[in-house]
Amino acid sequence: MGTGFEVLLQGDDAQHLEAVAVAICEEFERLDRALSRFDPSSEISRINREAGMKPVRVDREIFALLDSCLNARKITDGWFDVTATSGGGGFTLDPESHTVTLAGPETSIDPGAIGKGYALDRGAEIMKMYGIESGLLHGGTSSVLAIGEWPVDIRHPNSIEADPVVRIALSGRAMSCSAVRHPGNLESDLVDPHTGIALSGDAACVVLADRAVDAEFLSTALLAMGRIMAIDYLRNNSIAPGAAIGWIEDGRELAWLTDEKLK
Amino acid sequence: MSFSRRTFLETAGAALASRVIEPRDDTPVRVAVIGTGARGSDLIRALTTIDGIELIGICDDYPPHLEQGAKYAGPQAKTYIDYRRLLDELKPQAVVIAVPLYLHYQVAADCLSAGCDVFLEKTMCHTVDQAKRLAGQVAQSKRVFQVGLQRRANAIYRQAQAMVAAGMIGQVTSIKAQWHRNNSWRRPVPVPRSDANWEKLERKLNWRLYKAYSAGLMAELGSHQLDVVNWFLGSHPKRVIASGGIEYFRDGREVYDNISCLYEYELKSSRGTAYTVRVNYTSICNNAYEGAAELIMGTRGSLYLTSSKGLLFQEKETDAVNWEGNRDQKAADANAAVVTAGKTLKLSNDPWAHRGTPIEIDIAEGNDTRDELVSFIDHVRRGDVKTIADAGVGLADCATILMANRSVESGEWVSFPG
Repeated sequence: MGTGFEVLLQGDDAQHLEAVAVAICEEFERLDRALSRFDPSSEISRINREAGMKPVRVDREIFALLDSCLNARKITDGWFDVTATSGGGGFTLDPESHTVTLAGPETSIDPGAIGKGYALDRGAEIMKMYGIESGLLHGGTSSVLAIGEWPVDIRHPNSIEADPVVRIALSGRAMSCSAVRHPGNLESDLVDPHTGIALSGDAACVVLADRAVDAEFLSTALLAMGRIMAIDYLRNNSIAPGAAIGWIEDGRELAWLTDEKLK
Repeated sequence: MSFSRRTFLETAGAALASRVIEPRDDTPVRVAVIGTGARGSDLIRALTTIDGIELIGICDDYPPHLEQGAKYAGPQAKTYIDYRRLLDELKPQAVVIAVPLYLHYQVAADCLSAGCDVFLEKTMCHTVDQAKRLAGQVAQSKRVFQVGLQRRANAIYRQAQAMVAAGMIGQVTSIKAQWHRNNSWRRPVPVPRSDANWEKLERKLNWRLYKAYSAGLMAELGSHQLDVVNWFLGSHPKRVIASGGIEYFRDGREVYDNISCLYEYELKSSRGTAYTVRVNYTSICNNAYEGAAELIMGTRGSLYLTSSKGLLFQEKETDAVNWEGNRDQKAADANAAVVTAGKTLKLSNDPWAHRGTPIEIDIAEGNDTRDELVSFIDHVRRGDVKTIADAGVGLADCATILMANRSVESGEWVSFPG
């Protein structure tokens, strides 16, 4: 987390829209306070401090989120790993005691992508609960979720000046973009979870899925795999329902790796 | 005024001692939560991370909130829409209450009558009379009782209070506190305005905005910060004059969208001389520039306090305590407890140069809500009624914030109720 979120809502009752927007922002803030590894008072910081030594009891929400991290790690053959930046090793969960145990004192969890996705999914639940028919949420511009149809441009992965690569009509689902490098960065801040080495090249992976958490872990994992392995993986595995995968290499146009036609 | 290393350590030690607890046995404390809205859900999530607790039941009379609470509480927690039934059937040892303010008294009184230890969200009660009656019942029942004034559990505030008590900022002469935000303080209603149930749901969900259920910004926000003032000054205000109104959010609400208060505290110096500390408190809803913070101003320094950051600014004019160098060996020795504690106090790289280089209270690892519940459960386990925010603290806090609302209504100075 530690990301800027934005909420855009359309409707005819401004007072209602503001109240819903505030409710969504408060939910984002709550989740940031729980999931940020930069905030020493967060639950994730408590886990990272203590769970390398002993099992740490966590609430059901964080347990479920960590469980989906383990699941994502499993179904991507380890290409998505929330402990990767600390050198991997992973963690275990005990559903009886609702505890988490890290592989060791050096291991730490960075729920970054999946936390951001979860926050957007919670935002979508709140929009639906309060009858919002048209709304767009994004976290750090790389994770987007739309209710109603919204045009979303995908820019060149590492140039802000270049024209957008493609415009997508995002409707009723989430989109996540992962790029090896951000514009202006020479090196990637993403690592290959199997080697611990920073990713290289100039690729970007775009995933559309019903749930933002799925879009997040898939875009991160597939990008780490690289194009060839990603195509192979998608051929042999059934991924999240409704998911569509796009690939941009060297700033050229977006190629769809799935058969899905865009809505 | 000066402080010695020993005084500082003793005060700090006393303040923190209640955190070190030897549990008597391992039997889980059977806890129920009444009220599962936003705050109740925070409390449920925190409770489920604490060892030695069994969350046996939850209650809310609004089904969507009960459903949300059940999701966080887990299937072992039975769900109720009537808290009296919950008390009858489950007979919980401890109850955590997070219902709208106007219900605090009745629900807490019923829980005490049922023999439960009680954690009651702030503000203690909707009226001072109710708070007095409840405090009386707590004393008679000998149950463990704690008000949810979580800054009392916050390590930064506990350290800061010990620093003030040890004289590190000299004589406190003035306090400025505020909770400023920029939003309507309005919760969404799940049906359109044209719906027949809108009005009913609006009053239920936005209870904070209506006087029949709420005491407005003073109760929901000010109570935390004026409790810090009462705590740090070791007293309660003598009188207050306040002004407030609904100036921007004219949306049918009845509570003020901004309020400014001037409190007077009558204190005695160590030499027995009486003096007055004036406390400026404001809460506004249209500008978030200053956020939520308290500034405790003393003759030798200022403490800037928030839940996640505590900064000590020394006054430049004073016969400087030499924090950073060791030219004055004597002063350095006197303050060695603070300096060599190292982890506790460190030089901050905050860019507010015109206020001098602040020293940061570097203990931000705690989580207020979890820590106040850990403390409450420890007291329940040990049957210790001296909680970090007992009925006396809650009653004084309740009277402190309500007298400001009365002053707005009357336009006159209002004294602390006898």
